Amino acid sequence: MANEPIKIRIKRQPGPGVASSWVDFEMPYRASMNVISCLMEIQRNPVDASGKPVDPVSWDCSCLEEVCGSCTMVINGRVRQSCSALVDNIRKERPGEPISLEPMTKFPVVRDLCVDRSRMFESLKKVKAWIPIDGTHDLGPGPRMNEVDRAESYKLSECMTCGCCVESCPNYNEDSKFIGPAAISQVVLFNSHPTGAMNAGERLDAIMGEGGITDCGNAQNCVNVCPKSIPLTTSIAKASRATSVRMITNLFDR
Amino acid sequence: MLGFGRQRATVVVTTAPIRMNNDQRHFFYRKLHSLLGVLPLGGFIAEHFVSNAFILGGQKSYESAVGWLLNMPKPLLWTLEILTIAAPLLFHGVYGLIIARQAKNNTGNYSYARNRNFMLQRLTSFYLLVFIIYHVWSTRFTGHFTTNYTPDRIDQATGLIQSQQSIYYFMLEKLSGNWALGAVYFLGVASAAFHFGNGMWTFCIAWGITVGKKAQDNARVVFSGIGLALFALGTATVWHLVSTPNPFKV
Repeated sequence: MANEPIKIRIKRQPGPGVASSWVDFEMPYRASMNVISCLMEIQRNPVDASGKPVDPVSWDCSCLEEVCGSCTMVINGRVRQSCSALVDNIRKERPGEPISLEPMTKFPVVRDLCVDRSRMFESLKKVKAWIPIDGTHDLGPGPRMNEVDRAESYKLSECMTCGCCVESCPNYNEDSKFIGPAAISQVVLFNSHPTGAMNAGERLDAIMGEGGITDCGNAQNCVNVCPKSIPLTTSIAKASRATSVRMITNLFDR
Repeated sequence: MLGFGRQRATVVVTTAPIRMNNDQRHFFYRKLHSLLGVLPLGGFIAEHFVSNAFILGGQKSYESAVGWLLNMPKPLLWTLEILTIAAPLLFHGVYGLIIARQAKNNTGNYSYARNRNFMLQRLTSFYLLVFIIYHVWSTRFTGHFTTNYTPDRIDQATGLIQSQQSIYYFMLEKLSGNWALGAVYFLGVASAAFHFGNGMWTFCIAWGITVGKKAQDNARVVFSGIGLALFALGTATVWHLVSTPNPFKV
């Protein structure tokens, strides 16, 4: 099996909102290939498995080292980055079958494997995933952070908004307004920052409504598929605690 | 604002304390759904399983265990039934269906134990909704309160009393030898025990009680244990009723 030609089956869609179809491709094996190098091979010689010329396959990629998240797609039924999906490994998942590539199912398809992840960006805007420090005068140096908190925050800051968590989340779909684990984790990240904490209430308010923290159903796929091993379920529980406390104190404080 | 010094805090005075916008209402309903699942419903289901397990000790044991409920003044009983069972169950069940409808289950590609339990939590809720409607209708609204038994016949061999007052006899008559209904009850018991155990576990996350992975793993052990204990109690109860012969059966 090792040096056999690589068979790939790609779910293709010529444009937004039109029907998709599966197309088979085949190419000679080379050592150490990843899914991106396979797609580049198709780009060089855009013919399907029967030798018929086809349009080159569209896909997104940038960093090629699993830190940008742009090449995320569904490979053999599981969402992940195509740059770190090595052919030698993923061929073993379904022996004898072609490698299957699909665009993520939770976002509108732009073309072939390219999707529009605006919904994730909108969620980040909704939860104010930033620290407002712009002003007309020098605000001075920010407060220092202790090392333990810094280490925890660093892990959360590795999120690249790739979409794996929301793709695998059963509660994130076109019928729900759920903002997903990534955005909730960013609330925890920015609320744990000493300067960011000054706007903690606003971020909590943003997730205390429809599509917010209560729409998590604890299927916990997110933490299992996250390529950066971000403790998303811990972030969700922390946000749950903060919003529960806020709900109760709101009852008595206002 | 006139002050140049400290910024004054804005105090919002609301005239109607319980006026919520859509987002607040959504948050409140979800929290209420979660809370009601534990109190009173979780508490009730535990009490229900434990009380009914006194059936294992026979007629006297069961009737002395549930006597305090049956002998309660009716207006008090009805108030308790409505406030701690009927109303919370109605909200938890109906709102739970709305929540369950939103999920697009994907256990095929992501076959993690947690993901399967997420799906099972929803599947058991569908079964429980149908089962509980049948269960309440057949035990609370018909049957024990309306059936006419021959008053106070005593079987010499077993000492079993057949009477209008005997809730043990009522349940025995329903389930004795009826393996099909026993299976329906067994599924109800299994679903309720799972839904309770898994629900308690997710409640602890939804309210931020178990935050870290280790805490969540420990809670899984605790609530699996409680769930399994309830499952065992319930199964033994149903088994006892199905397998005990009814001496008065014609």
